Amino acid sequence: MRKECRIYGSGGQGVITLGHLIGSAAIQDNKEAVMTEEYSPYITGGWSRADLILSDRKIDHPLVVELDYLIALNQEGFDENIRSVKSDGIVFTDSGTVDWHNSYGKRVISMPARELAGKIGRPQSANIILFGLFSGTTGIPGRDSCLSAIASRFPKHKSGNAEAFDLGFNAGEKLE
Amino acid sequence: MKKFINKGQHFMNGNYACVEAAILAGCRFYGGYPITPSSEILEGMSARLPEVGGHFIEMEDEIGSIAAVLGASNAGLKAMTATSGPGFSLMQEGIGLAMITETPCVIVDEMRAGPSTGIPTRVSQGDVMQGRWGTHGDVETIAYAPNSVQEMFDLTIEAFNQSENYRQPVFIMADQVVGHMSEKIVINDPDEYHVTERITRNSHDDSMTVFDYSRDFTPMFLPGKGFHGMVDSLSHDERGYPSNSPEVGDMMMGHLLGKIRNNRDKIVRYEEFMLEDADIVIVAYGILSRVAERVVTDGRKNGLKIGMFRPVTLWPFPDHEIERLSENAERIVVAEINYGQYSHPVREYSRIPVEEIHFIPAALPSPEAMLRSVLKSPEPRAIKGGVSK
Amino acid sequence: MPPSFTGFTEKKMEDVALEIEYDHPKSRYLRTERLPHIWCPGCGIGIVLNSYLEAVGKSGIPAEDIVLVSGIGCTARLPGYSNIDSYHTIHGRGIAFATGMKVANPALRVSVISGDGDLFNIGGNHIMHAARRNVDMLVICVNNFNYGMTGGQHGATTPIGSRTASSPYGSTEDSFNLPYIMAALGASYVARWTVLHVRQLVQSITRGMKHRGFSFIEILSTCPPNFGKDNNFPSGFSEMEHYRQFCTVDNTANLREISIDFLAKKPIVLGEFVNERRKTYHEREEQVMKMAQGDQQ
Repeated sequence: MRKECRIYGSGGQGVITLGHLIGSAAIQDNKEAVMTEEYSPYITGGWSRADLILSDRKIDHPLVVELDYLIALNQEGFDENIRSVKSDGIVFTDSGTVDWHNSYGKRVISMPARELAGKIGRPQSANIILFGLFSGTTGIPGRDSCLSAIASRFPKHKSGNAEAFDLGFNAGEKLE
Repeated sequence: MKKFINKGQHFMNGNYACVEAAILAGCRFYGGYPITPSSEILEGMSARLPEVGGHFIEMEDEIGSIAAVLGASNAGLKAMTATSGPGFSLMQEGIGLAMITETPCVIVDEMRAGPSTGIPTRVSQGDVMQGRWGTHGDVETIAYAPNSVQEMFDLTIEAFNQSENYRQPVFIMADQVVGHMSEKIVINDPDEYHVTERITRNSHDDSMTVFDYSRDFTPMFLPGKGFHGMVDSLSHDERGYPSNSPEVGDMMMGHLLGKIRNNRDKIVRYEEFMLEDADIVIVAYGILSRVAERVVTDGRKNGLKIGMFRPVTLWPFPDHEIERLSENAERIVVAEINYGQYSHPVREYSRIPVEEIHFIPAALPSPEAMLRSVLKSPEPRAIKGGVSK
Repeated sequence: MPPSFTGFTEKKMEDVALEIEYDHPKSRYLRTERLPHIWCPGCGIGIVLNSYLEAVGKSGIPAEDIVLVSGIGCTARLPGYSNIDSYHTIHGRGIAFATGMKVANPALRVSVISGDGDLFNIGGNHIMHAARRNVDMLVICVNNFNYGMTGGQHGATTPIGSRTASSPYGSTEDSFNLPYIMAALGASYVARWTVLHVRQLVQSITRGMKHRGFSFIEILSTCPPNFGKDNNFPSGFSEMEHYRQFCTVDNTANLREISIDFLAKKPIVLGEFVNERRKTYHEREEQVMKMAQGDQQ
């Protein structure tokens, strides 16, 4: 298994954080993980991108070429990257903020993540909800590893983040 | 006080791996100046060194950084700095001072697209010759080219050890991708790593001179212990006294170059990948070797007899190994993210003509692009209009 | 009849010379095997060496604790003649090297002795920042108003109008006023003397060595074969005579006004201009270490 995944959004949305969480959780599942990151020179407000490769085996070439998964946190992330997603790839996005209907036939799984995050009083946790959705749908990384990665990254906000994660995870798990 | 990083698995980037390895290797002084893409090493050191009683100073420029590192090392601490091409250029005179005064230190150069300011955030392998001939005069350098976060960790420790073993600066020629990429690394218990401690002279030992040209290694003297030592950037005799005599200069140079040349086999490191029956040998180093590894794996699946030779130490140059490989291979192809640098020494030692593949600095090529280039096997040619193969 | 020396034989003269060599009060601080030195007749750097070693004795600081660092130039050769741990580094970088040394081992008593060209032309950036950081070190700048070792070219301290090997029509650039600059940069001890004012100089060096913080002493020197010969100081003596006639001591001088102009026969103001105590780099670093180590416990 070698899965290539891109997370794309604007600075401040937690793109790099989400990439780091997925990578940390994956290695707890005894996977190999590589993340490369890039952002526009303007840290807050500019574009931000994290590319991940998750694999069962040692990862040679460390950059993504064709996306198995895209996590688009904003419209630009969706529009700029949708054509790089493989025909059987999956796109995860925020249905409240991203118009995803022109998806070139790729499968899109979405939730109103920002809205839901606001409802549970954690408006900054939209990325964690999508993390849950990603994990619930794909099974990589597993839920325990994800929660442990979240807990070690944000030791003071363990339960709130776990709640946000499970919102996404439960929705993802129910899908085919 | 958090002395060393917890053992076990970590998901971290190359720059932080370098910081943790340096702390573990006993580095207790960092003098540096921020520069993309190496700044996280400076930042990491500013947080970690005070925790272990080490000293961090952000200097006014890279010239000051290397000078401060050499001062600290001469005062008895293991010391390092990290930079990128523009800063590495500024450090070259100080590197010469480290060579002639036999001062151990580690210098990380994270290569980015050049020349000059170039493209600061993009990968390149354009400094490899600077890591060999950057300073003026004759020197033998030691330079590592890590290709993963794990190697960034392991080779940083090795670099510190070798710099103590041979009393000279050691370079880690990493690149933007290795520095910024996060990856799984496994860190062992600190006791499981071999760390070469600084060997220094006992005070008042008048039987020894500051340097000893008859041996590859002389223990350093430390100031403040009554040794009355002299260290000079001029050509000097074994007492450290400057001399204009060509004979004295030649003795000193024989010692400086000899200590590396005599121990070449203990320093050179390389990796071979599917070379047993390879007709086509790709020579690749640093991050590009991971693209080459994929090319070899995919090529083998398609029936190509292809393999890869990866120098882990760029310098000293793996001359015998290239010579040996060229006896059996049909083709030797050097792939690098520059316009042709490492291909030159490979050509010097290969018994068959050497082909070059250049990738445009600023981007890591895809395996497909590299495979296409290998199969097209272009001849070396003059670069025109900035077009790369 | 006045006493006469005719009774001495040549042999006796040699004996006297040998006796003087062995009994020289500074010989324990000198690498006597390296003498004679490279400095020209009439040069003032030898006086600085003597004054520095005198100050070492007077300061009460054990010579073993002292480290001498220099860059490149005539003055930069001074550490090599003293029998003290010495580091002759590269042009302009002595202060940065010394900064690393002092930060790495705060117990060392570090002096940087170098020339005006080394410290203020090529090394200007480092002296600025060492003063700002208040690194605990003594910097002695021997100012001979030109680049002596390379044959007398003009530099940042060459007074305007002076003729040198690279300003044959007279220097067209204003020169640095070193005490003014160093006080502005935050040096916590600033003084200026000449190689004529040996008593004051020895006292000043002693104070500078004991001062906690960045100390700076400018020493106006002589350079007859280079700067001197084209600027009315054909011998070391003539420049000394100028210092004797035109120097005044004023510790409270307005530093802005004390630039040097030989041609206009402007008075040369000497003195101990700044002597204050502020936290050193080392003292601040100790606080950082406490914070860092406290957090982890």
